[in-house]
Amino acid sequence: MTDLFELIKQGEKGLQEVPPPNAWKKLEAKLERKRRRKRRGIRFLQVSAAVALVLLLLLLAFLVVHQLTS
Amino acid sequence: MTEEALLLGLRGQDRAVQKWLYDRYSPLFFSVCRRYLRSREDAEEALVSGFYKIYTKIEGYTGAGNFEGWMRKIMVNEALMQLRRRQPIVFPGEDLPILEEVDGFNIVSELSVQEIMRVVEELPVGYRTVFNLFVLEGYKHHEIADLLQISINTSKSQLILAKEKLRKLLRSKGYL
Repeated sequence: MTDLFELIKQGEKGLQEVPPPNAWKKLEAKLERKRRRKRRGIRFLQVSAAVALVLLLLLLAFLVVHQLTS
Repeated sequence: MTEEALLLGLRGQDRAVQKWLYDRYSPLFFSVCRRYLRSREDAEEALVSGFYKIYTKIEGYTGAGNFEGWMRKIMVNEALMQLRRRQPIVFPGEDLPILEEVDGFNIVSELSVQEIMRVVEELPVGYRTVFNLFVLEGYKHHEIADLLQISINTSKSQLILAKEKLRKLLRSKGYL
């Protein structure tokens, strides 16, 4: 006679079941969406930083010109 | 692949390493999800969400404890979340006074684990969930109570009722 719960615990590894073949594709698509969102976020930050730098330079140039002319 | 190389690859979001881990563990984790979710589609969804969490929350694994155990906890949580999304988990006999624990039972016939699990699948969802968490995942009653947001006594009584129901089902099929 075998204890039922022991039997279940011992045999658990044998209960494996292969998932549907498209599961990996779904997972990969989800990961790709996240990667793209992250890249878009980084690009937005880069563009924002560049725009801020240009504005800062323009402001500095304006101040210098203003200083020289007055 | 060594665990060190695996973790390094996962932390670097290396797709080949992610695929290697998926190929290695998806049959085990899919069967874990299937135990909580009857439909294959729901189990697949839980599996995909579980792996997604493993990959994106990999920094949360500090190395304390077994990596497979850490992944498995995520999978079980995802399966339970999916289960709750589908329907509220009902715990029959929740309000009953604490029941007497029945002795473990022995089976006389040659029964495979697959056959037993098919019978476990027939249990009501509340019984089955607590039974799986306690017997297969090795959770303590206070952990099950936290996970399912029930009282410790409900967890205990669900397990006892699950065992009783399982005994009846096995007997009716001539296995006991």
